[in-house]
Amino acid sequence: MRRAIGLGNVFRGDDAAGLEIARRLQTECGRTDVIVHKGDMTDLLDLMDGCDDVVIFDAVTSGAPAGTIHLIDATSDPLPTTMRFSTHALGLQDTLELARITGRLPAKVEIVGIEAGDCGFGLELTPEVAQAIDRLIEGAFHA
Amino acid sequence: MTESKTIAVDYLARVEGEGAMYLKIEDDEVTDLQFSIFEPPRFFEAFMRGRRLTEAPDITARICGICPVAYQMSAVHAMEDALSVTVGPQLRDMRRLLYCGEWIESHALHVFLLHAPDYLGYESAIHMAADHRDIVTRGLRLKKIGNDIVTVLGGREIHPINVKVGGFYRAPTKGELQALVPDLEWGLETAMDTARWAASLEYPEFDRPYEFVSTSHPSEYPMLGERIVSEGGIDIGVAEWNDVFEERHVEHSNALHAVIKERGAYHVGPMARYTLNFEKLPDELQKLGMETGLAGGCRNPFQSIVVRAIEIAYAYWLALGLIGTYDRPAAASVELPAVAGIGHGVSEAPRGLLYHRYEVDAAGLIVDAQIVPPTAQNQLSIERDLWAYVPGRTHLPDEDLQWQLEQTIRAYDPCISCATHFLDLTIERS
Repeated sequence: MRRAIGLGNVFRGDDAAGLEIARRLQTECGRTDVIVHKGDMTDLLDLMDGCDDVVIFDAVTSGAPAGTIHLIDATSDPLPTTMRFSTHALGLQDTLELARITGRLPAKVEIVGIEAGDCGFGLELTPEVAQAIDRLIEGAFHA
Repeated sequence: MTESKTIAVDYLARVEGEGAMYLKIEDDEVTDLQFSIFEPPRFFEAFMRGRRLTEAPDITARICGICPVAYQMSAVHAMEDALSVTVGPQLRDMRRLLYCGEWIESHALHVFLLHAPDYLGYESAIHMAADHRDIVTRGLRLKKIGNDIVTVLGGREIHPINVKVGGFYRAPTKGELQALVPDLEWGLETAMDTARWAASLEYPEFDRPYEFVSTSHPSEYPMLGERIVSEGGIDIGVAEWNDVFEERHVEHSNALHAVIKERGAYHVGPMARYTLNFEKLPDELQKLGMETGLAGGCRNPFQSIVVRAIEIAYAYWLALGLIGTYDRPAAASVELPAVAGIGHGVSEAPRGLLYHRYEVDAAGLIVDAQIVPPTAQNQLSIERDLWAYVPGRTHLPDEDLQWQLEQTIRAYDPCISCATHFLDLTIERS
């Protein structure tokens, strides 16, 4: 089973990027295999159970220009520690490593990271991130 | 010659929130200590003014991603008190069941992923999982069942959307709840085994003369307690909170310190609940308490992991009982009158007593709000523990002392901000 999951916090600016991608894939592209994650990272383990191919959308901060799209294969190696995916105690890196160690990591896991510009309080995406999401959604239409 | 030193930790993992710790040690004594919360203030109490009273459970839920139900429960209690509204036993039981899910979620996360690595000597749950896969797997499953309870009652596993002042938007069917029973039965047994396992871990000797404070109920181990009690003789109605306790601003912390006006520091949370309400636990869990060596009380913060495991078992036990007697209410909520008033509400968050007070006007708008989270109440107690822990242990290498001091902080499962997450710890010796 293939599944895509969007992560983030809708109240923290660009941190909502992954959620927004998943939401638009559902509503604009009619994708039923896409999940808008609700926030509990341990729940991500359950969402990956039974899948052999998972794509995760999330905001990332690595120092690259805002709106940069990073494609990272998490199947065989841990996510780079130079990138920050989460402000929470149990972040995406930790959760994927927990999945790997407990034998719950799908055969293929790919991360689509959107470089965040501003993750302060607020409901707005920065223009750079909004444009990056537009490009991804447009690509999904032609995929 | 005086020997003193400072130890610095830039990043204390496995706690929630942004804070810092500074310790200066001279000879065998701590001479300066500050537990500072530099998490920026979030002004919830201020921006709730002018909002509709019916928004309080949804707004305050956002204070914490781990214990949103606690904020919702204390908020609805306070609002219903302000409006002189009482919900019936069926709705109250639904609230208790929802709370069981949160206790399980929060305690399982702390016991297995945040606290257990301290005792087994690992930097994190990830490192621990490599050698103790079964423990981590068990913890994740215990937690997931808590998520499932919150989802069925609350509509989703974090920041539930089904709670309202006056009750719920929708009551689940008996069948929806019955579907949880096999998992709950497994959870009860597993949580009891977890308490036995936790009791077998090694703890430093460290008993503290806390004044424990919790809510109380005539017959229940308190989740939705009705009065506030302490070992020091406090036994007050919820509306008297501000008569006995007060919040003080201290320069080194962005979180107010709550104190008992006459005596200062006190302690809320699982150890307080357990010690003050042991006889309200069901017989099999009292026996479990005896078996684990805690007997009727616990004053060693390092053993709080055992108490949390017993409370996980209690939440499973209670959830099974509440589902067994569940009778779907004809109406999922009660009507709210349009009246002005002042209301007070408490409930037992996983980390301890959570007090809310609101003033509302006849138009249904919030005029004033006061929210006192458990970690604010425990700040002074955490500082006192650190003052007390160092004497007699200054011979330890810095790394070991630092590790043990971090453990004393983590024993509180501090939710420093309910937001972003790191704590700097500095110990100075010179």
